[in-house]
Amino acid sequence: MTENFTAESEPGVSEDEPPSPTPTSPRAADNVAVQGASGARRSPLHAVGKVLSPTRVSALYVLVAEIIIFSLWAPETFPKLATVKQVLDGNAVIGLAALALAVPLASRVFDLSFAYTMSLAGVTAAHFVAVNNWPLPAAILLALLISLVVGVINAIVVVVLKVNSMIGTLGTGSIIQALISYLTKDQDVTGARLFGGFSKIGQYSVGGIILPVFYLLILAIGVWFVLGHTPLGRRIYATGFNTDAARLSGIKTKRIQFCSLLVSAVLAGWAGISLASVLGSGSTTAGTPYLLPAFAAAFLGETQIMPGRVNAWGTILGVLALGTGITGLSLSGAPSWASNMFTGVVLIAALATNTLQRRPGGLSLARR
Amino acid sequence: MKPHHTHRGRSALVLALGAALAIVLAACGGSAAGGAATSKVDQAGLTRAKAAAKEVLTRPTQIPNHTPIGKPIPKGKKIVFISAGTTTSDLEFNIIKSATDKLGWTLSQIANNGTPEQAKAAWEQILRQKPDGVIYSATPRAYFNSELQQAAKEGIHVVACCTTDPSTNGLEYVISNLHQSPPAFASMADWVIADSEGKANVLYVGLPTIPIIKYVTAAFNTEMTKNCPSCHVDHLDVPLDALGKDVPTRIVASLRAHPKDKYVVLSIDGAMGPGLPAALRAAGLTGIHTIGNGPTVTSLQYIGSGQQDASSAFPYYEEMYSLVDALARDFAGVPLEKESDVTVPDWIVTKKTLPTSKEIFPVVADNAQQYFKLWGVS
Repeated sequence: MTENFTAESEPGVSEDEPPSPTPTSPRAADNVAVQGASGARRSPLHAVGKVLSPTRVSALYVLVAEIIIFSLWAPETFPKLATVKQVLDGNAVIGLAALALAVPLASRVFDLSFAYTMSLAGVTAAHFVAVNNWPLPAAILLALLISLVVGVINAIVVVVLKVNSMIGTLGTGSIIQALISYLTKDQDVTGARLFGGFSKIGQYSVGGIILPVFYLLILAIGVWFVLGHTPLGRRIYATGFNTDAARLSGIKTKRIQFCSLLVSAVLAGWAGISLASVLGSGSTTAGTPYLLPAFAAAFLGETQIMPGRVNAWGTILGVLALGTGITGLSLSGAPSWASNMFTGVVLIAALATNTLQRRPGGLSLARR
Repeated sequence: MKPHHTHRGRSALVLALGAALAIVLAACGGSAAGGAATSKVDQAGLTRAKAAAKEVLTRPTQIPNHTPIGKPIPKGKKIVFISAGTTTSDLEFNIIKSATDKLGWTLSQIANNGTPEQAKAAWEQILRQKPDGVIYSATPRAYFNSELQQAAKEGIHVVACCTTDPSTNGLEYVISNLHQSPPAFASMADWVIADSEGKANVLYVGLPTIPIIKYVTAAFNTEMTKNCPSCHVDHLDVPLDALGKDVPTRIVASLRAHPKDKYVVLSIDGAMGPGLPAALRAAGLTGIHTIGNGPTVTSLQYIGSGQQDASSAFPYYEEMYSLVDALARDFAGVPLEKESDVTVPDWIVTKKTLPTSKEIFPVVADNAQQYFKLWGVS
């Protein structure tokens, strides 16, 4: 991970392209992406080849391999529309959680508390709907507001107090879980009202696709636009690549990292509310199982589309590649350990491939 | 340029091979898809299953223990509860406290997160505190065996719930043990057979990581074979880290792979059930009947709202009171009841019989009163 954040080894740049300069001013930082976008004039075929290059979309090839293998292995169940729906429906919350991580990761901070924020937001919304009979929008707003407060605390710990983000957010996450246990006595929040309008947030489906999939799509477009097509996004990336260089060039890196933790917390809050709606209860530990899968998807996503840069579509591709594999294994009657092994192998293979590709001369295997 | 493209092609190949290797290796351990229930119904078996199901659908009235203590129970005893770091630990503590308060004892708790290190640390604390009695739940004694034996030497009475460890070598009494837990799963099998009129195709969801699951699963399978030889059971084992995450997705996939399966049996209801009704609906799977063992309030809410058929209620109240009963007998100098004479109450709740969906309830409605009577306290 570390080398991906350095300007001199800025990934996503192939050997036949000039290396991106370290930004020396906000405008220079903005120009980094402009240079990359314009580049040299090449043929459309070359452009397509570049887009489909294994260095950029290796997970896409994994996805294709999965589709072929599982279609042969489980021909009666896998190559169906129902599988597509299942993959999308079953991985929407992981996708939302992974995108919640994208912005802080892009600005070089980790938010390990997001999973606990998910639990907190879900429990809060469920409690105020089911127990206090609040109107749904008010309960959701409060849950998001509390998530924002978590983000502010994270930001103070990491940016103001300068605690390492991994340790700091792990600490706040632990405090959040303690708070949830104290307030709920570790009992899930349930109530008949959770099966009304609240359940529609996560369970209402359009053509068999549940709403969280659409939230994921909207969020991905938003993250893609902000990170990839605005000066703010370029400053976020510049902060992530080399914080000191970005700061010396005039970018307000602290402000960017502070705000990225706020964004992460609010998005995690929304993911938690969606999850609580899917479950039909405010589970006190609902978010924690998403900690590792979301990071796995975000890290895998960082190797895709724009290798070396945490990006929305790469993350989505990562989620789909992992989700399709796990669903395929389930449909094929694979044993319980298969999904973990699959996830581990794909992650290591994707990251190793990406790292080897960026070495001078590419894969040493190819040279021998 | 060409060599560069070759590198890319090879790297993609490496990645694809990695994924393919993972899939193929996983396939090697996979179980073949099962068949389906045959049409011939064993009427005698069905009759047996219906009788057993009828019994287990009726709320039990008998607590696990039977014999009055008959001697004064000393007051002022100090008891420590070591929780297993699960979400039911607080519930167990509160139940035990309601019993120890009645006996004039004090109860404290050593919380831990269930890891071996913390369990061992809790027992080291026990040896420093030297309480009169210790109650622990769902933790293998292998984590703290030496401390447990040391505690016994120092006269600390130790009782436990929900473990496959036998009551020997310092552990004086175990409830929900290797022999008491499986019957509830046999009852669940009978419910499935009765509900399906002996034509069930079942998806049984297990969790091999938990030692007791092996035994209760065997009990379920044995009962299915005995009372419904024509029924068919498919097994889906899920890993521990799938709990709370993608168990519903895995169940949906398995049901799609075995479209004849119309009954889903959850070996741990509260951990496997959340999100399942929504996942079934999203996948368009209808007519699926679900039963689990050990519901949480979320499961109870599903039953109350008609999204789940039934659940075998875990007797938290009865088992915690039985542990306090064992300590009371120890302190009063009365022999413990033989574990083989102790029967854990077994009740499958449905929407029709659910007392409440807001909290975990005693299986035996007057559990506390019956125990107070055995202890001679009002």
